[in-house]
Amino acid sequence: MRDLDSIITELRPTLEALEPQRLEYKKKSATFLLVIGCIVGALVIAGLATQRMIPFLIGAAVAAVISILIFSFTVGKQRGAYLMAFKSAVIPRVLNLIDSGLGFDPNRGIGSDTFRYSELFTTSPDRYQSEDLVWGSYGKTEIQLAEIHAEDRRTRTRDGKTETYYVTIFQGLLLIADFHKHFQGRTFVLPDNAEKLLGRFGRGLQKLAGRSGTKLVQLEDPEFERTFAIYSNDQVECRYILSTSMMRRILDMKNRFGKDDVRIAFKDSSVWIAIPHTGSYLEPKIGVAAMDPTQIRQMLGELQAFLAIVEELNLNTRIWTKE
Amino acid sequence: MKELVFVLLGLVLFGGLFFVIVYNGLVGKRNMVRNAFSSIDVNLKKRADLVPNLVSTVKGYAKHEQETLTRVIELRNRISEAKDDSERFRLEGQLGPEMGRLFALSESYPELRSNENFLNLQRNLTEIEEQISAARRAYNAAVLEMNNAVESFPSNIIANMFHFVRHDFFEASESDRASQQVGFD
Repeated sequence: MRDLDSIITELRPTLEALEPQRLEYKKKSATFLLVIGCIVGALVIAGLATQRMIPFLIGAAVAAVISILIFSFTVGKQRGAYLMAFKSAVIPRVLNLIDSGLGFDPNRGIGSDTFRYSELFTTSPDRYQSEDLVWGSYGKTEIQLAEIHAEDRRTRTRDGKTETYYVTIFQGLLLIADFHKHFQGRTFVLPDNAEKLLGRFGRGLQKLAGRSGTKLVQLEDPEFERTFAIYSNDQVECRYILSTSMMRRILDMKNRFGKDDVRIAFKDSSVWIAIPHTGSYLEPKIGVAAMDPTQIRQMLGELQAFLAIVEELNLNTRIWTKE
Repeated sequence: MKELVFVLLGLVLFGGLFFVIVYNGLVGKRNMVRNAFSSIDVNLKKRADLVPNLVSTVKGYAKHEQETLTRVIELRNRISEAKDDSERFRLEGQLGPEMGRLFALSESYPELRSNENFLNLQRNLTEIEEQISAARRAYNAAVLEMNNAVESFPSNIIANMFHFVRHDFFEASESDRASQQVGFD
């Protein structure tokens, strides 16, 4: 297997060709900022000088808004083009290092229908974005991994005015992987907020929650029970999926990410795992040179962190009837 | 006087409602136990059904293991003729490790390891053993709920009136426990 260093060397000419694009963007954005700063500054000074602040401040605000719009339609596009070119050049090679069966498309994601179908979240998103799709076979396991931002539109009335705002339902990574055992039912492993907050009474409340047609399942592992609320429409199959060692593996995975709201659905013989993630994911930094190897190393690290779930949950072990 | 009637009526209504909820809860729990028990049953039958195929596959390769093969067939026949559940489960408990021993034969007979049919049977047995273990856990969880309801106050009053009884947990036999030391997952 080739190592990362050889890939970095191999990518150098491509990235060097991208570097002027990044520098040009940086230069243009700096100039743009300077010009906007001068205009706004001049208007404010003019306002101070003429003692008529309000019209000049409005003028400054209008000038700033127009400039930002022009910026995003002209120079901003250049930034997008640079990011896209960088990702398209680097990530497929880095993925190849992990498994040659994996592909990458920065423009594609996991569709909102699939997101809804997972039943991981009960709120249906009104605004939905998904990108950076990694798909293909990782070992013996077919996977799809993408970044998702799903939001719910809400309205509120304040001082007689109705305003619309968006609340995040989920922001992070969704991994869909072929499970190593066949099953027909639906099983959900959701964060156990009720029991954590309210103890025994919370357990009573849990029974009312869950997904349609499912019942609360009490499993033997006390730590797993404390951490998650488990719902399934098949009591036996749920235990077939969540074997005692699988419960341990899921707990270890959750602890590795250190996030409270990890959700897992088992459906259609596949496992769907949602892990919240708000920081940058597979995004090169504009302030860092395109050739800088630390960025490429970081991207490999990010991909490995999420793809490691497949190994962690032992999905590549195919000793059951599903091959 | 009128108030007293209302209070009494309220108490009767409350009592009736309490009775219905607890009684239905107990019936639901008992059905869960039965359901879980039948899924253990189904999977044990599936495991026993693998025997003829397994024996005929192994026979061709491991001629010196006649004794083990005969024992497995005999066990299977005794299972199908078992008079009651307890005898059947005792025999099933012996069949699991015996079958495991047959699969372990592939260590001494390398040709067996490359036999497609044998490998397929091995996967099937792993699958069924996993299903049996899941069904056992589901059964024990159902029994725990049932026993809690039968023993704790006030549901124990209704449980005693209508003969809802404690159930025994499904415990793995000694030999099963030994074979589970070799975990798969």
